[in-house]
Amino acid sequence: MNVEVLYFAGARDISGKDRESVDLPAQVKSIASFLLWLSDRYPDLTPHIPSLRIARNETFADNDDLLAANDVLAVIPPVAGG
Amino acid sequence: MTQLVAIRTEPLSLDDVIAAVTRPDAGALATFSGLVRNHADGRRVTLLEYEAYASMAEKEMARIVAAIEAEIPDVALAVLHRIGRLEVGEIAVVCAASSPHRDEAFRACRILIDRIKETVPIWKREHGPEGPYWVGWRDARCSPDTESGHAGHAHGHEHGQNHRHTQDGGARLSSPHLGPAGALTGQGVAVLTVSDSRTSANDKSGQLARKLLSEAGAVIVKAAILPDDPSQIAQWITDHARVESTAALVITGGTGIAARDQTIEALSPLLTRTLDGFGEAFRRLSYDQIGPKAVLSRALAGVVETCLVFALPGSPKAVELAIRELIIPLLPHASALLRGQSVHHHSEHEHER
Repeated sequence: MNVEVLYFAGARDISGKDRESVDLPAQVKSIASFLLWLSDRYPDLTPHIPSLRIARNETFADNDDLLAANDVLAVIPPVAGG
Repeated sequence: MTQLVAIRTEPLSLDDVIAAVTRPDAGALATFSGLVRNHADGRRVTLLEYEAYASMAEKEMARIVAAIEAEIPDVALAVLHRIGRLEVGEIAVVCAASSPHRDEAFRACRILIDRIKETVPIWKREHGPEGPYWVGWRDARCSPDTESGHAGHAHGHEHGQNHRHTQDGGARLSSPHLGPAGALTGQGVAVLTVSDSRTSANDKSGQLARKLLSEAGAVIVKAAILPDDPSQIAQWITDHARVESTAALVITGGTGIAARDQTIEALSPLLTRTLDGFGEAFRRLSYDQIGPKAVLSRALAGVVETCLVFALPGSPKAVELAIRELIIPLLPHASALLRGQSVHHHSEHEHER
């Protein structure tokens, strides 16, 4: 399943890129399994996983939300606006 | 009056948000400006670099504005947030709220800035003598918790087989090839601390649980703290147990016999299978450490959906004992059984090939 992944702030520093198109393995069906995949792809992100939120198509997603083809998944580190 | 909610790259002016909410029926107008300050937590700050997921940030700010306008009748709100490199003294955010009377305007303005800081996808990188860092990110990178986690990880690989209690330690490892260091590789685990007093800053047991589980290769998909409230605990368990990639929930705290200890009350009714042996083995091991007081823990494990749920006492010693001696050795095999994967057959086939 093809998705677009966006990386911001500290997550971008670790991934080394703003965005990438990826073909997720078939077993990656939910936000939680996407986090597992992310941790596998970028081991340095692993300690940060509990503090990351994933936005799916510009809306914060829950861990059990399911993914769909062509989703835009944004990796959101702790926010610090204001 | 025009709706004004936006991310800007150019300098902000309070006049813009004031104009956006000024109207004849509003006798009160409250504003807030957030400025770049020259210090943060004792560090000197010379420059802030703001970044946003702009399209989502604008949607999220509009959602917040609409929610507050619905909650507090007759208020109108406007907000602008700047991104880019801002010097000390420059304005990062301006908010305005108008309403017929002052109470609502003050209140709405305050709620607006609070919620913006909480959820809008905007980040800032502080620059100063100590070098740049993303605000909020450092906690995860530099806390004693994860620092020792990294060190411990390497240590775990090197000395993985030198597990304590060597008499039968080896036999408990479900995957003798990997040893404890990699035993939980690829397993998603959610960790919950139950406590009326702990916060993320002093949650020693939760931090320890996360460290030990990540050292063993697990991915902590969620970490949370909840008060000793059975309905909140039960809701958390239900929500997280149904996530297909979460192999286990590890809960610390609330397993004692005091009136406020409610974790077992919350968990028991949700279990479709109870693993009595977990509590028995835990208390048996705990007895060696603390003697008869071990029986005062109602530590419990069982199954919710296809997820293993472990309820441990809140003390760091108990957490370490349960995770090292029971959860890490048990989880991969137990989880595979629950998901109908036959680990043994699988590995035999691997060998045959």
